[in-house]
Amino acid sequence: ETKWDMSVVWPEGNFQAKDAVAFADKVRDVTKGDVDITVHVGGALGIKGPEGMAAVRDQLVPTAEILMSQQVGDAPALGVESLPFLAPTLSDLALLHKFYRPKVEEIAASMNQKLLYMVPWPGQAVFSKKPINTLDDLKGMKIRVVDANGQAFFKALGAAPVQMPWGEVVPALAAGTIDAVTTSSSSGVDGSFWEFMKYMNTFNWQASSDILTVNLDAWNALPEKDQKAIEAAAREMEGQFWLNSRNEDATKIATLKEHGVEVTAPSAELKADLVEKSKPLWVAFEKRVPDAAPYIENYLTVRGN
Amino acid sequence: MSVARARFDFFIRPVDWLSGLANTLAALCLFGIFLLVGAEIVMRNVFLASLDFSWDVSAYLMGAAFMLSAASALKNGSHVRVTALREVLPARAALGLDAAACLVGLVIAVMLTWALGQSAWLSFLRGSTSSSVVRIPLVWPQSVLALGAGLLSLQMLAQLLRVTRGEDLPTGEGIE
Amino acid sequence: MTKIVFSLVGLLALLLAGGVWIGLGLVGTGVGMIAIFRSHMPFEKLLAQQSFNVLSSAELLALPLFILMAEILFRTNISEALFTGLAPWLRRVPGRLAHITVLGCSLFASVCGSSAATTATVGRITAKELISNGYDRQLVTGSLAGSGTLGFLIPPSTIMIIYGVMAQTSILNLFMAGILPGLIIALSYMGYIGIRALLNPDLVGPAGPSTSLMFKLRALKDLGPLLALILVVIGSMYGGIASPTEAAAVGVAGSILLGFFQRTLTLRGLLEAGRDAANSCAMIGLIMVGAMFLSTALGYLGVPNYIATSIESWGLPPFALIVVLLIFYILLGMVMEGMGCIVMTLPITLPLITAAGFSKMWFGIFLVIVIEMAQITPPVGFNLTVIQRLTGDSIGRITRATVPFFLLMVAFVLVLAIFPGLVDIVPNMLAE
Ligand code: NA
Ligand code: NA
Repeated sequence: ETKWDMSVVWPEGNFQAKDAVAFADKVRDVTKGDVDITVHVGGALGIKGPEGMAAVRDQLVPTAEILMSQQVGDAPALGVESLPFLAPTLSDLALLHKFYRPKVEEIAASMNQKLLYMVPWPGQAVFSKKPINTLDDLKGMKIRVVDANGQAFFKALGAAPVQMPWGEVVPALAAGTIDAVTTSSSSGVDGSFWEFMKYMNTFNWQASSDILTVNLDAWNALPEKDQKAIEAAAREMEGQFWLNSRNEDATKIATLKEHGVEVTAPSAELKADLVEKSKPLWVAFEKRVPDAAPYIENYLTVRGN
Repeated sequence: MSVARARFDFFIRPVDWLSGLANTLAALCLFGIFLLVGAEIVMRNVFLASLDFSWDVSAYLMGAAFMLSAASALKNGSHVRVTALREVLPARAALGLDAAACLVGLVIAVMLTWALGQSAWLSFLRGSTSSSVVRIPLVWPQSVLALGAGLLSLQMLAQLLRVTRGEDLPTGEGIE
Repeated sequence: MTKIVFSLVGLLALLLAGGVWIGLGLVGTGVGMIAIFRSHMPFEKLLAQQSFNVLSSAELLALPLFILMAEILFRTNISEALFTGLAPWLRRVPGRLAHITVLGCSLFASVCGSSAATTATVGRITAKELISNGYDRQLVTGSLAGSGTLGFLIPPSTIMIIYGVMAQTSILNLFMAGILPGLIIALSYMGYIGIRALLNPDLVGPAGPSTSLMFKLRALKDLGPLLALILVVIGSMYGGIASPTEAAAVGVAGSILLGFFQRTLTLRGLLEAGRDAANSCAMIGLIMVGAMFLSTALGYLGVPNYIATSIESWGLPPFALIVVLLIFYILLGMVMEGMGCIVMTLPITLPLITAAGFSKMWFGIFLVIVIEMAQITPPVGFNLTVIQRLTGDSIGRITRATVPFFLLMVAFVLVLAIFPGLVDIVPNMLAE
């Protein structure tokens, strides 16, 4: 019998954490108890988001559930999904993954780990105190962002993107130090954002996925029949996990509405403006991370623009 | 100054000097944090723009300040230890206990140096950077931490040598 | 598991009683535990990862800034001004100026989310002046240790934010729920100080001459600069100019201006303040590294998890459950860092508590108070080590001085268990 610890940074009730637990149960099931994974949610093993892949490589944990876009410090090509408006819908993202997944597998292998499944988060919305109907409404708006793409995107839109550790966000929102936050519907509910902001603008400007990886040494130590069974389980559950993600977004948006948040999609003109401002960032990214460029190009060719 | 005093001075004095220098650097890091955070407040409120590197660099400066000052904190008795046992022991035994504490402290400090040094080296080889808005090569902040831990190890050795020539370990100034 | 717990206690006792510096002793214990029970794990990687985590955590930035602020203020005449300004007013209050630490910490806690920073800052400004004015050393250090912990309970609070996200409950409501318990604890400390002073007048400094109202009002003028500084820091945060961490930088700027304006601070003095602040930071930083590393190591070994699961299996009635959890967290808080305690046990204890009929918000306040207790229990007690650095007293002596204040906190938790509605009063009031 093999015992593995799995690190998950999300809190217990989060849908990605629930998926990870469901996967662990399934693995126990299909390996007839040979592989027993203990899931540690809430970052209980002291591994922070950006350290996920490094921790699996360094054998601090045999397996971890990892937010891909946070790993760009170790592998810049993992930032593809988070390019603004590159893959704004789940079907776009599925298409992107067709081309991009082998690259993720290659990066994982170069860090001595194996990719088991990839599950997207609901798209990034903008929560704000004032409504956003036109580009002008974004001018000078202090928006909390978390990554380089967000910084560049909102700067290009004329807003004032602001860095701030998560712990500062709630007091800063309460005091009016910042006007808006860009994050998913899940995090909006986790942070009870209705207490500070009346509007959720479903820009879906940025996609991001979590990956589950396992250390190759730990993996290779398993008998082949268990490996086969786990791979099959991962393939089988991934589809369901994508559905969970879609349902998560719907449920969380309903919760936000219940608390009086006005949820609006951008108008066609605004959407066109947003996409317009995004494209130069794709070019800049391809220049900075050339090994990611072919995957982006192939995807765009098939998608048709 | 007796012969016993002068013994090991060739090692202790330069280490003390280095500890003092690193302490001054640590102080400058603290003022650096102050200036960066201050600049961020001004930029955001006056120019509606954020300094995208201010939080990251401030955090790295904080680590630098903490570790660079570790040696001087040891030298002037700022680091805290439990002295209940040594207070009830006779003078010679207390000195022996201090020597043992220094020796164990030295081993642990060297382990810390090694761990931090190794991670800095690997970050250098792999070209790892921070993953937030700015891409700062991690080798820089991590090397500074390793350097501070290394200096702490040297100062720990200096304290051990001081104990072997009969000196008491430093205690903080405190309130009379 | 018994083997793990015995090795932990044995190793820790051996290293710390042997006089190894606390931060290094914790690192050594963590390394030892991994070497014995998880020998296949590369401990150096975990040590490097955890150290870098702690030492580059933007969430901690307020700590060095507030310590720097305190060192700068210490070099101005703000301490004397505080005493001459308040002395005539507190002359007839039992305990006199001994209340300053409690009042100061409560006020400071409203801008600072960290307990260690609250203790370090207020202690730096008040402790020396109090002790040299004839106030009892034990009473001063004990009340400082106790009220310093209010940094977590009175908003803003870093611990509450972590808990709010993990437990998926409103952080704003938690902040509001903390206000009343914070004030009650502060009042109970002041009541205790007053009673002690009535029973033994020698514990407090001399009364000074009786003065006219005019004199008293003029004395207030001395408090002006300090009040202005506090107002600027609080105002910058609640006025939407600065985030909580940034408010600390506003405090540093204010204290530098104050010092230069009063001509009590020179450039050389400023550099000295920086060097002393760096030494204090180094002490706290090394202990944080050790505490975080050891906490994580224990998490890998499943210690907190195992104990929490055992408690779950006992199926206790609500009040007994609270008492057992209180004891559990007090013991855990002796060897672990507070944040680690919450993160590693919450998935098990939170469902237990809600099943027993308590609200998530109630448990949040309970946890914040027990984590506060962890700050003043040896050997891993940040407030104790901060005060050790301030006063030069031994950890043992400071711990003894802290016992009454610790017991007041325990008593309050039990009151809270009997009247759980206490946490809802302020949020309900503000909701209307
Ligand atoms: Na506070
Ligand atoms: Na403690």
